[in-house]
Amino acid sequence: MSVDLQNITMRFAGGRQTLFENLNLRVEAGERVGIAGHPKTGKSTLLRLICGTEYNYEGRIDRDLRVSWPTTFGDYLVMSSTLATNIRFIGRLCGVNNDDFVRKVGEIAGVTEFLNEELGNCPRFVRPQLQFAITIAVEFDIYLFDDTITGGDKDFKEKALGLVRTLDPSRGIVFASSNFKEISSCCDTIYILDKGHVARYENLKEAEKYFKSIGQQTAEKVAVQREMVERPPQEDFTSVLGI
Amino acid sequence: MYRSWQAQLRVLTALTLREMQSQNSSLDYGYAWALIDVCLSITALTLLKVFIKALSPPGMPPILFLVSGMLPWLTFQSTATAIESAIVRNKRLLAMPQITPLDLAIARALQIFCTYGVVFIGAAVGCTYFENAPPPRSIVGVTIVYIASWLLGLAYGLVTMPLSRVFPPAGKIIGLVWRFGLLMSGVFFVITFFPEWAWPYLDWNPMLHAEELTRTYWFSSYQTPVGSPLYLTECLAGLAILGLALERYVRSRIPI
Repeated sequence: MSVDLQNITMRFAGGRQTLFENLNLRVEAGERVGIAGHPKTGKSTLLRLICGTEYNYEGRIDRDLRVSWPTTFGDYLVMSSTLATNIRFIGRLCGVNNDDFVRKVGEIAGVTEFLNEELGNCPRFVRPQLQFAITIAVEFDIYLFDDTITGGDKDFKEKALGLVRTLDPSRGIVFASSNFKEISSCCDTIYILDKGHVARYENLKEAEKYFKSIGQQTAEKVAVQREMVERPPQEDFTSVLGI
Repeated sequence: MYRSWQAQLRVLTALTLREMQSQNSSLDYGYAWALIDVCLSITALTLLKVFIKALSPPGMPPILFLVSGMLPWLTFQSTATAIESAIVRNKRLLAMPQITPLDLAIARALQIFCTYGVVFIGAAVGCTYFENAPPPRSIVGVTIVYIASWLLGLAYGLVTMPLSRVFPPAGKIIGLVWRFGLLMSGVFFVITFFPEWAWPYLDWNPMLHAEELTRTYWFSSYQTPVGSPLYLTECLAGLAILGLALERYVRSRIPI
């Protein structure tokens, strides 16, 4: 069982700019894949391609396993509904509609005392923790993480990382982020996303070295662009007029 | 195959219940307001009809005549106009791989069908009792035509939703349809109120067929001269195929 992206090309701005060019990526069930990429390289779009919510591409995608939505996604939550109602919606959607599911999510998120409260009336930490817990409580073959494992308070982040590390070996993860350290803490295979392609690295140190080097290049490029924007015009009016 | 249908049904149930729960959820009595809203619309139109003293055809109780015309029309119109807003309002749900724009459209349509269906049954039973009228000649016939009106609204909404995304002024043109549609679809009248030479100009409208057939299946004193189940089915199938094809075409090309 796998998700297989074959020769994926994505263009935008009416085809003038290319995000991916003949990108190939295969994720097997049970694999722990990290995708390291600097900002604006298309990490979130790649995750959308993996889970099947991006339609605008050329190429072929074969998917014969259940893929989650990115855990940090929580726009399905209704603020005027209770936590239990929001959890039940996902339960119904994924075919796990029972009270045990509500309790399980409440326990993972550490928010059991708020289950019958409206989400809008709950403290701020509840929402990100709930988003993580709802996703992880449903049995998917691959869980997706976009940018970070979870939001919420520091203790919960540690708890969540522990849960991800101890996931059943048959369950895989795909974690896309620009934080190399966070990726390497829970992934076995690293891909580096750069200029529309992904390159696989078995050796973590080698991957980190390369990732830092392209980060340096990107930073230099941004600095040059900024300098060009901020630099005063070469010729002032007096020179143009020949005075 | 069976599993994918089961999963589809699960998604639609979850979305429909979510629509019902989130509708008016900030108010006390929540979803009841949706039912009250429909009842008030019908009452307002009935009062308008009484006020303008339009005649009902002989043998048809006036309020029941209106209810039999208005509810299929309101179901059709509300379904057709709600499709686009349902997708735009819930577009963030499309980040979940289980949900497609079509699911959002169907779930919203199902929610409208349930709401208006309950009101239709309540109004029909109440008016039959109030006006001491006989029950419908064919309950099955009325039900099938009512479902067809709802499906026609869904199919029409699926056609107009991609059109107004590709060509935004289309939304204005579509708006005109509703203004004429209410008058031309036989909600307040039956076709025999119009001169016979006008019938060919009116009977292209599938909703007129739905209204005519509803009255025929309901009242034993009325037999429609134009209503055709075959024409209604053809329009429904044609619009549904066109709508599904357009939705599929636009989905991968134009972001919501």
